[in-house]
Amino acid sequence: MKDLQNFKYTLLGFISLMATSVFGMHKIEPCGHTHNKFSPLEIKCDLCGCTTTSGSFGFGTLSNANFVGLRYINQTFESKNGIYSNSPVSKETINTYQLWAQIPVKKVFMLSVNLPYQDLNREFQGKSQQLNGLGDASIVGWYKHVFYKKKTENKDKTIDYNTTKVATGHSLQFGLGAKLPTGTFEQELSNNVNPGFQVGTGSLDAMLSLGYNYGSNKFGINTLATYYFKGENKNNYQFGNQLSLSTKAFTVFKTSKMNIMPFLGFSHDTFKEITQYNETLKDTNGTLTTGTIGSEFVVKQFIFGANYALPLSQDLFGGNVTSKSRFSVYVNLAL
Amino acid sequence: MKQLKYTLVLLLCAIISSCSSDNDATTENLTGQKGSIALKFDNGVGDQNFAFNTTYQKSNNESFQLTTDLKYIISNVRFKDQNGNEFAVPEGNNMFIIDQDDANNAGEIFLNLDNINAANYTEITFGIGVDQDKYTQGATGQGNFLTLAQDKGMFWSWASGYKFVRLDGIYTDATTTNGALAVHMGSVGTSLDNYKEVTLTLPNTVLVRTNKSPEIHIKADILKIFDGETSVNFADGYNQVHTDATETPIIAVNMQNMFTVHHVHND
Amino acid sequence: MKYLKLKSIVFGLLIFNSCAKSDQFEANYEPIPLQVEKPSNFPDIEYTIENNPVTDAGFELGKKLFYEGKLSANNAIACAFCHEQAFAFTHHGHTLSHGVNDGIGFRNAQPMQNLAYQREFMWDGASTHLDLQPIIPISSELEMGETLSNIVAKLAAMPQYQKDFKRAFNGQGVTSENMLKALSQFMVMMVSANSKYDKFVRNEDNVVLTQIEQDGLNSFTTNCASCHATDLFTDQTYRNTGLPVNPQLNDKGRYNLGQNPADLYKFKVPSLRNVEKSYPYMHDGRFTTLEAVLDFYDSNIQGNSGTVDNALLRADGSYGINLTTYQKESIIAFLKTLTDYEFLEDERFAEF
Repeated sequence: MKDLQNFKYTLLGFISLMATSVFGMHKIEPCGHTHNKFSPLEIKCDLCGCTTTSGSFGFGTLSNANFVGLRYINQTFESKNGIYSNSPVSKETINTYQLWAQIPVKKVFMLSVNLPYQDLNREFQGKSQQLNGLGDASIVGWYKHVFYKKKTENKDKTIDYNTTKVATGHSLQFGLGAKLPTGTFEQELSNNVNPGFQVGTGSLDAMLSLGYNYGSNKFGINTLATYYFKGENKNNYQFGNQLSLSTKAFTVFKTSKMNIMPFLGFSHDTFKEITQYNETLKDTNGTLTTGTIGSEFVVKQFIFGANYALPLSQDLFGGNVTSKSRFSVYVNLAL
Repeated sequence: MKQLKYTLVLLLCAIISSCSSDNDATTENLTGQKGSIALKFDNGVGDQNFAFNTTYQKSNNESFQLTTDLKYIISNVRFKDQNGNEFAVPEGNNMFIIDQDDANNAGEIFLNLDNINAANYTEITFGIGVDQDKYTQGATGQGNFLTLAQDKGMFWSWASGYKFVRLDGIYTDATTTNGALAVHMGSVGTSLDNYKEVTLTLPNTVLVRTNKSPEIHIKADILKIFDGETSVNFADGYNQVHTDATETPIIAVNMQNMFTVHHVHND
Repeated sequence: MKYLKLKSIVFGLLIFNSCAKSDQFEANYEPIPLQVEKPSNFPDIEYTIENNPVTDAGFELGKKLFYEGKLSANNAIACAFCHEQAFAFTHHGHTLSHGVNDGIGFRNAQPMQNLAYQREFMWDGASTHLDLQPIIPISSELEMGETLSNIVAKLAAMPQYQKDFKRAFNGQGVTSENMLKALSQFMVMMVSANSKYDKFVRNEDNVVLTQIEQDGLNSFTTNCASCHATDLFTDQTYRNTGLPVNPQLNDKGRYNLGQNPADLYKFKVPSLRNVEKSYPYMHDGRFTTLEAVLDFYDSNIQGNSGTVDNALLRADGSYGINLTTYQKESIIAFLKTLTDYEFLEDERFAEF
């Protein structure tokens, strides 16, 4: 435990150092829409302490809400290569491998860290282009406010020595984070219709997040709203700010061996236009609404998850880029 | 706890600074610097990418297909920067033939212009064809363009003058199916002058520097040659346009309005 | 014997150096400017000499190219093939000329004289600059059937031409621009202004016209000089003289440029200098003698579907110029005074 504590502070220190060193660069900027997003499910899941089989699913045991894990995300796009309606189309696949963790810092503070590795592939007119490398790492600090039941006074005004707080199941969380330009941004690739086909954005981005969660024994719901302030990179290229809204609803099935938590959700993203040299580039904004379906499985110390997302409506890059589908699988080890 | 506080404060600072504008208002000294600009001509018909041997519809239930040639002459390319100064590509290097046969797989025809003065450009102007000054200069200043034009079939063989555009293929109208289509609008010496200029505003500023390679993607709508300022019909004889003093100016004005800058890339 | 080695080395170096120097000499050659003759009885020069100043090197190169068969597809048809000096640079006795692959053209080869004073060239004015005129016969499948790039390739492969071009154009090599400019330098020098008439008009050498020649000049001035004006003997306009159309050729003349119906069957007024030597006459060479030409103007204008020129319209509505037998004879005698033997025999323009 002591080692773990030290580790936490070491990690914190390291991250602060990184944050200050890259602060000297330009502004902070979270990713273009191809980048990994914080799936609220994971955060919520840990917060609700679903690591324990005996499990109560409220926001009770926070000290168990930490993990280290590996996640794989697959995203596919189709982009029109050319300015005409019948210009040929390229297929893009983005494979992201993440090392991610959620580390509690104090009772009400947590830190999410994410280190991705990107493997991108584009197919166009029979030719294949590959791009891989370290992606943009990110860290978010969270403050969580759990709502507890009000204590009812005993009728006889005797002091209640039972100091255990009972959670209502509702909670709010506030996040403040940064995405670091650890991945390489290639200016030439930004000349494609889909400039998100990159390993990194080369920019330091900031994000603000607000979430509301509810969890009970059987059922839970999570909503999260995040706003990304995207910075300018050294090519004076700046992705547009992004607003991300998502909501998920899940239930719990318990078996002797594991807990199964299937869920359904929706998310909506709005991207503002990309600017370069402080000038707006036409047709570089977009909106995307997706539906997600998935499930988590908790077995002893392990949490396995899989989800699949399909776009319900979209208008990206003036209609020139189409998001096809997304799925991800992950395996976490509760800390 | 303290460290956490610091981290949060730092992040907050980062957010605040990212929200504030980030203008390095340093005025660069660009004198003496030169760079290059690549013009990408992208021929299309309406919103369709152009391809040979493909039938396209035009007004009045007529249709056409180009089978062998789609070429036009661009000359006198110049740029205007954000201060209103104009830079012209030097004489002797300022006449080009945009030939669909030279297009890459994406149907883009590149025109690489070097030795452009470094500046921030907002406008491009170019001429379609060859201007009258060139004719009065005779062979002077035309360099190898004469040879290039002849080789590409853009020079009249029976008169001195250039074909400014060359469209060769077939057409169909109410009475004819797959008739011969040849639009060779040009100038003939000083007696027929169809040279026209086009000025286009760039949707984003193009920065020319020694270490940058900006591109200007120009969309050319071939359909506008027939359905432009004036709609012309094959049935009225516009399937064969050569040196007619009535027909060629109409085609010249139509062509003047067929270009737009679709987008630019900096770097 | 003593310093044989040294001597031979020095000698060798000298030779080597001098050879190298001659190459340098070629590159550093200062061409001698030549003056285009400006006779006092001529109008102003039209050619922009500033763009292509005439020098001895350029002129010599131009002449060489004029007589060079390699400008044609079969390497045998030079400009001089249809433009023979003794006949005022026309195709002796030919109505139409034949070219590569036995192609027959559709127009009569015109004389080459005083081109520096002309604004436009060819029977229909298809060329508005002397530099660019050669491209027309070069490209014509019926004439020389070649392309500029092929010619440049052929000439560039010959070391002598490489040297000639460098001498003439300040070190520049074989290009189509330089080739055309060289030809122009040759052509602008071909000024014909020393006929008997010229000397008479300029009061040179005590030249006088005979009675019949003087009468002819008077008749000419009255009846012909409205179109065959100035001492160039052409006003350089395009006229429909009422020649019936040859159905085999169906040559629409200036109409071909611009399709203006008013231009139908109009051809350029030719200069009458050296007309004695440049038979046959008219754009398709249909008249072999000057007598036939004057008979045409007097009584044989049949007209065509274009509009015959007003200058030929008589008061009674018919077309023609009334000429008596004597008037015709005297005009012909006068026209013969336009023959410039100095020009026709000028060695500067001769092949050898």
